[in-house]
Amino acid sequence: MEHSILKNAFKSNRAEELGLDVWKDFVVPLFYNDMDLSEAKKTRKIIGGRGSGKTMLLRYLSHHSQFSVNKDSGEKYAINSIGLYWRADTNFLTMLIGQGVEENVWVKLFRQYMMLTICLEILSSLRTIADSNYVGITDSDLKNLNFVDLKDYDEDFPSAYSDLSRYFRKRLRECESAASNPSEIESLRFLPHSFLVSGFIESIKNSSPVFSDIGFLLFVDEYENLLNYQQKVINTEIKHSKFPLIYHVAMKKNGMATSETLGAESIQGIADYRVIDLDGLLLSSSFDVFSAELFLNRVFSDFDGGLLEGFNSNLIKDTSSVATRLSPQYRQSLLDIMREILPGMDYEQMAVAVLKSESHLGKLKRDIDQELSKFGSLDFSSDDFLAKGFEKGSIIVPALLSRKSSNPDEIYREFQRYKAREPSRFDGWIQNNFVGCYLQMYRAYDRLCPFYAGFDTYVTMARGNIRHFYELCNAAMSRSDFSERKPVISIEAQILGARSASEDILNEAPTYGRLGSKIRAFIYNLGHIFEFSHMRKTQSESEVNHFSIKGGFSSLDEEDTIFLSEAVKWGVVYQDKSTKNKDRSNPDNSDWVLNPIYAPFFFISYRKKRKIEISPSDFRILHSGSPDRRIDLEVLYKTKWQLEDGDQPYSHTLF
Amino acid sequence: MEMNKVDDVSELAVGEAWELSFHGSLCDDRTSSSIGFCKGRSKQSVSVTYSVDDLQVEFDSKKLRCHQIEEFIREYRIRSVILDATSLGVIELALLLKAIRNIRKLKCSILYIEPGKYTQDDSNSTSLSTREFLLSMEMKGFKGIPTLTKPITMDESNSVVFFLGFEGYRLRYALEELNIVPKQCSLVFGVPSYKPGWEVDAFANNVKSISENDLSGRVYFCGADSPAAVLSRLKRVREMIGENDEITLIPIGPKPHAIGAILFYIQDCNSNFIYDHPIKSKGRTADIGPAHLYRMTK
Repeated sequence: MEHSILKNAFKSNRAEELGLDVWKDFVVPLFYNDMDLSEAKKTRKIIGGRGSGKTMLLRYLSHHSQFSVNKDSGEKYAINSIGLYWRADTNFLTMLIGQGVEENVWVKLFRQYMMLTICLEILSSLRTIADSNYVGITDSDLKNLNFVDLKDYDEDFPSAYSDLSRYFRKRLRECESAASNPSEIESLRFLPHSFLVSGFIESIKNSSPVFSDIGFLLFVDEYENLLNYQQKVINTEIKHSKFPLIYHVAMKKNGMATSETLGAESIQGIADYRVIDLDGLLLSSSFDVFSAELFLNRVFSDFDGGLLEGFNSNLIKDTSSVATRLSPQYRQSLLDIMREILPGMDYEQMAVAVLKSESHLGKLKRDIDQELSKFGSLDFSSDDFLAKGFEKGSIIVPALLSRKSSNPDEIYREFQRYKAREPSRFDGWIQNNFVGCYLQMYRAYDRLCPFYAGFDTYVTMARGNIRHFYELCNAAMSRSDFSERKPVISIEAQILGARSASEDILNEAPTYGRLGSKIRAFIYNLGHIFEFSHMRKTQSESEVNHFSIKGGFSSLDEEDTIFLSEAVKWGVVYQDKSTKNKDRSNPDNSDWVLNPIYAPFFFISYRKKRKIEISPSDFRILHSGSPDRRIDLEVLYKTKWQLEDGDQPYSHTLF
Repeated sequence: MEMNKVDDVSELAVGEAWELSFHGSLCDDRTSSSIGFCKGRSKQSVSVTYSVDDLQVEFDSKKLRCHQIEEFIREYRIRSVILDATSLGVIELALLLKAIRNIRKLKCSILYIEPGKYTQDDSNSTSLSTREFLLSMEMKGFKGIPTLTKPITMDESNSVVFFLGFEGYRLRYALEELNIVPKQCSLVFGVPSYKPGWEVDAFANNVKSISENDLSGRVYFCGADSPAAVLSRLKRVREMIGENDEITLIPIGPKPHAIGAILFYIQDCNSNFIYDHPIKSKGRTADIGPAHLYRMTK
């Protein structure tokens, strides 16, 4: 296998790179059959952030892929649900506002523009179908299409298929010109709302029996970028959406700014649409298996005919094979392959490995002795807390001894029981403290920490985000030297890769919409607070990586809620049901968890374990505070956690 | 195009005056100097601001739609005008130059003063890269500009040319948000840069996007202070792709590159102009560098 191909296997992570026909490249998600998208009679509101595979899915459902020339004639073709993909050109559409013109005028122009765009997309889909391996519609069927009925709307309408695209484009250009010079809008010849279905689509259906069953699914991508009134126009269509043209909308979380229509009604879930939450579905539908398939497809599909023991690249592209892919045997075989390619360590192995290093062992001994010396003369020393096979316990001893209420005799007694493999309090202590203490050991020496390596770790840190998983793999593979037949990525390369991908994704934050720069500042500031928490000697509250708002979500003012909503929309934090809610008067209290992809950059835990409570005013400082206020806040936490001035964040750029 | 460069703006076009000047708002040392120059050397001076929210332009306090600008300038009945490209935003410059081009016998000059240095961004934490500068507070995002913007269609051939500077996230954002395909993109950097070494910061901040999108084979260089070099580069692109294919210009780098891109745009009917509307930071640059005067030829 060529090294350069391996190194570049994950370089390009976006659907846009592949073009509109993704038939050959699409890996069917394991929740595909639950979505019921191609047969849906009602609108689907598809929610997914960057990296959820939303664009790829919509392109797969569109005519470009469903009638791809790469699809065999024996495959299933559905002409009653031809997918139309419309990624709203928000650069242009956001221009249809203001300029001293009333909104209702813009509504008219937008409707016309959208209608003409859909008509063009329908014509384009017919061309794709005629060019495909589907035998039901041919080039001569297109030539026989007769649009003479459209002259009822406008005498100028050409009646032949071949002339119609040019005509629609001409009318689109009129709209575009009017957008720049709104005084032209009133002179445009507007088509009635009924034109699209009752006029245009009906003309196609009536032209020939081969078209009589034809129906369309319109997928509007990036709905969240549309202006408020434009969303209302589409909502109106959703309200009345039915065969032969069903509207589906795709957006990021919190992307539907309004549920209003142009009329008095609003659209409502269940009655008008069903939600498909791609982020949630990815997380809940064996993301580890899906990640493994994506990885193997990228790395192996071009080699060995796509066959690797336990992996078959044809299976993952077949919608009818989802059940097979969900079987425990299949799952285990894939995970076994991936754990070999991306090896990691369990906690036991990590503890043993770290204490093989003389510097780490020496530091641990010094830390234990230093803590013991605070209790005066004792009958035991650090040597009594070190034993082969019990390294996990040894590592947490300094933290246990450093706590105000700690009793060294009791800790000693418990360690002896633990060593004798008797029930001891060390079992619980290790569970609660090991990761925090382990990270603390590495922090002191700034060395590569295996906590961030391993396929399972990568899956956890990617947290259902395909793109983050690819970024991690790309960064690790580009640092690997493949000398084996099978690509095995060293633990060191994985750790460096995780650190680098984490930083790259963090630096992407300024592109997160209007508040992008603030979002990046927020990640930095929050990450540093968590980092300070991880530095606590006592580790009494270890692995802090999420927060709740004092007084609950409702105690935030509008600016803060808008910010938090944006942070959620871009996947920087995710909302989770509050655990250990001490404040029962706040039923709206939630936990807000920093995306685990940032954990390697801040050298913190990616496991959701403990939280801090932040006041609304401190939350404001974290996203919009001046440098002085931010430093004051950091000092406050450092003092509270008894850190010294010299305790600085680990995070710094690699470059 | 005639280009003059001097170390101090006061040495520029000594004794020359203009009938009208257009300038933007004050935000750092050099805009104070450039606006002062324009006001001192012209009989009338008008402040110009484009509002990305209502898509109209304010000339002092008079609000106009974009397509009305030409008529507005004609009403001055002037023969010479100077635009302060230091303080005017890219959009204001594009709208003004587009209107001025159609007015025969109106001679147009453009003033641009380089920054002495850029202000480091220390707003987040000590951990930020030293290559980050405090240029923009936030971005409004890609929003069309009346009379300049056309829709982007993915099914038609479209050569996209980016003019890049220090803010690497702007290229990344464009590749994410716009209907463009990286395969069709070219990148232009300002080399030689205003000061030796500055180009390294621009490369470093864009390198990830270049590598991820396989753009390294389509990187070009034009002097950071030379609109003429940009104009000539774009003319070569046009010759290569033929007159019917679209060229989309996205000037998010040095201002002289934006000027070059605008000058090409206003004379090429198959080009499109796209911008992401950053909100400039106050004090984004410090000190004052050399001054340039570009004289337009029609």
